[in-house]
Amino acid sequence: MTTQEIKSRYFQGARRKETWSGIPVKTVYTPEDIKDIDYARSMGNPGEYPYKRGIYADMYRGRLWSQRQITGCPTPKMTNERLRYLLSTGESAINIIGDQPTQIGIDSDHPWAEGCVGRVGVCVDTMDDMRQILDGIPLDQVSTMLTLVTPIALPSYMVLAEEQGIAPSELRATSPMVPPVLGAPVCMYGGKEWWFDMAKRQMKEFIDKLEYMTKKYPKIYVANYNAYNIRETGVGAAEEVAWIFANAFEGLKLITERGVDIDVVAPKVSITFSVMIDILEEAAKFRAARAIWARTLKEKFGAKDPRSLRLKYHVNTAGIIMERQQATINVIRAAYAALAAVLGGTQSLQVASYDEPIAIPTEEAATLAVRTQQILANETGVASVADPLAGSYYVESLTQQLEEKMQKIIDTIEEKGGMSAAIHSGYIDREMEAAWFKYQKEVEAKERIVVGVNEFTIPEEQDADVAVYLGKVDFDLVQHHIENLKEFKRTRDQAKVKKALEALLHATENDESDICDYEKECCKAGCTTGEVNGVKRMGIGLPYDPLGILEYPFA
Amino acid sequence: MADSIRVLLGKIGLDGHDRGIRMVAAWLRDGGMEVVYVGTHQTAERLARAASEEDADVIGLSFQGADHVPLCKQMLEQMKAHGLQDRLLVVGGNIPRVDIPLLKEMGVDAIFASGTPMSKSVAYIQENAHKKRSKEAK
Repeated sequence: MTTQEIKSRYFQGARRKETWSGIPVKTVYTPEDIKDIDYARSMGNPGEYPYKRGIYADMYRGRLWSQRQITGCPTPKMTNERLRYLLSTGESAINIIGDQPTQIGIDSDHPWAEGCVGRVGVCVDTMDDMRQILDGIPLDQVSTMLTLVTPIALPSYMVLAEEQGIAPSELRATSPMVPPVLGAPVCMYGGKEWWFDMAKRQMKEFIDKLEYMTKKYPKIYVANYNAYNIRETGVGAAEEVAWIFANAFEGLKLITERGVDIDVVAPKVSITFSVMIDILEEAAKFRAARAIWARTLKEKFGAKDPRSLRLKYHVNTAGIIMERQQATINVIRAAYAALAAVLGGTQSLQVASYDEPIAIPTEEAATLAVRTQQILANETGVASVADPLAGSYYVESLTQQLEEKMQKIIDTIEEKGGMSAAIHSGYIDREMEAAWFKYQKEVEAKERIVVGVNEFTIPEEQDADVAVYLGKVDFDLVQHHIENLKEFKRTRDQAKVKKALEALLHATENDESDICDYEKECCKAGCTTGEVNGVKRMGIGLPYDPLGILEYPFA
Repeated sequence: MADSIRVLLGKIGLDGHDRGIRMVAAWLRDGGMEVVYVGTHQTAERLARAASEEDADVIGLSFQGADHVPLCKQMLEQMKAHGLQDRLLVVGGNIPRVDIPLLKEMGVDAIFASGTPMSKSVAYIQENAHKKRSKEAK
């Protein structure tokens, strides 16, 4: 290090002059920047339309956000141990994530699942797996997010609750239940023909399920749209909100066109957002998003119920901001992102563990993430007051700019015929590609500093490896799970399985309105993720196996 | 250009995270290479066949699903079965450092774990793509 370097560092100013998403930022903001904002019309108090300042008047004084860490260890048993551990550390809700085979709707013994089982989440093949995951967790006391995607997750959850004698009205859960158009990550399935095809055909089932839940399970939210995955592709804050809203609005439009009351479905819709590390831009993003949601639901959809107008959402701190290099410093990144989410008024939060770029979190890393939430909630003071950033010249100006930008993007997508048409035409893909290319160019040119990656680096060999949650032992346990599944399939009551699957097949073919009940019967009979998913595919005219290898086993 | 480098990129297995590999594709094209990106949800066999048909000098895979060890093993087996041992196999993504020596020992030529500057990956491919083919041909 030369003295020259030290001196230039001493005089170094802030290098970036725009937000993370690229909105130019001035040196200073003054009353001039917010003179056009009419408080009563465009803001209102917290708990008042258009809810820019929060969906509840008392915000976190009434109830803190749900502190729910995404959990999915290689096997159901390990996942259960982790869930119980997290609850014992003070986590207030749970969030379970499936591995790749589970999310795509195939069983752990599928030939393509080799090497993927239990790798990025838990494998759920049968209701017994769900039983094991939730063992010892009182379902009437806990709020559960089922980021499992398998069609057996929610019905299994319901059956297990019945077994525990819990009234359906008391069951509290959120599930991303393949909402119409696209509920699944754009980046994973977007552009795949079968996905649009399936989403379109599952429209009626989706509406039926919404109505079914509203009547029987009022605290289950089945329409959770995933904006997190959109943001993870590297697009900006405005795109994240605008794209998922365009997606949700398209779905709501289709539903209301079928004569369903908007105030029946809209309260059931929730979003999973990402939160990045540009604290003030992210807080402004959530404030802008709430206003757009409320205004659109009221003015365009004619919703009257305040529950329809209040945007409910869960937030995951972004995975994309977590770096492999000097991984422990990710603790700080996640904490700043979490702060942004809370300043923005979220209802639910997951803080990513610092070892996320490498593996499923170790217990130590998972604990730090829970503690991050607890410090935020109890020590920093930000939970004491609703919408603490309101009135900041910069934040209000940024909120307004983001709101305008989001609305513009929503309008553009509408002109293109809606979100599914925009994806189909390749527009969304092109936008994403341009965004991540630009991001990488900025990183390589050091226009964007990422600590430990392109500045303040250390030699690779000095970089301590975080404990890795992968290895021979886990692999053996996973292998054991697969062997158990094969054995289970051999020894279960085949006639019962066949009967339940056929009933579901016919119900799907005939568009019956209580598909959920048939799915529950399948779970009870011992049908698997792959079978239930496969039969539902067959019911709408698609091949049994999404990967085109297996045949329906009970033909 | 007779000696332009042909690169085949794809993702094998179930993991759908394709941001990294698509960025690499754009970057390599920007660097003047011929890139064929075959998309997600491929098999090792399909990829090897495509590499053979496209006469690719380089095969590039990307993993975010912690399944890189078994899937790289499959890829190397398929490369052998298709007589592609002289082609460069490069791998990127979320690769824990502990697995890097293992992958190299298996026969993966280079591993560019997430956060590697694109310029570095591009330079490596530019330098080694033809070298390996001509060396193996002797």
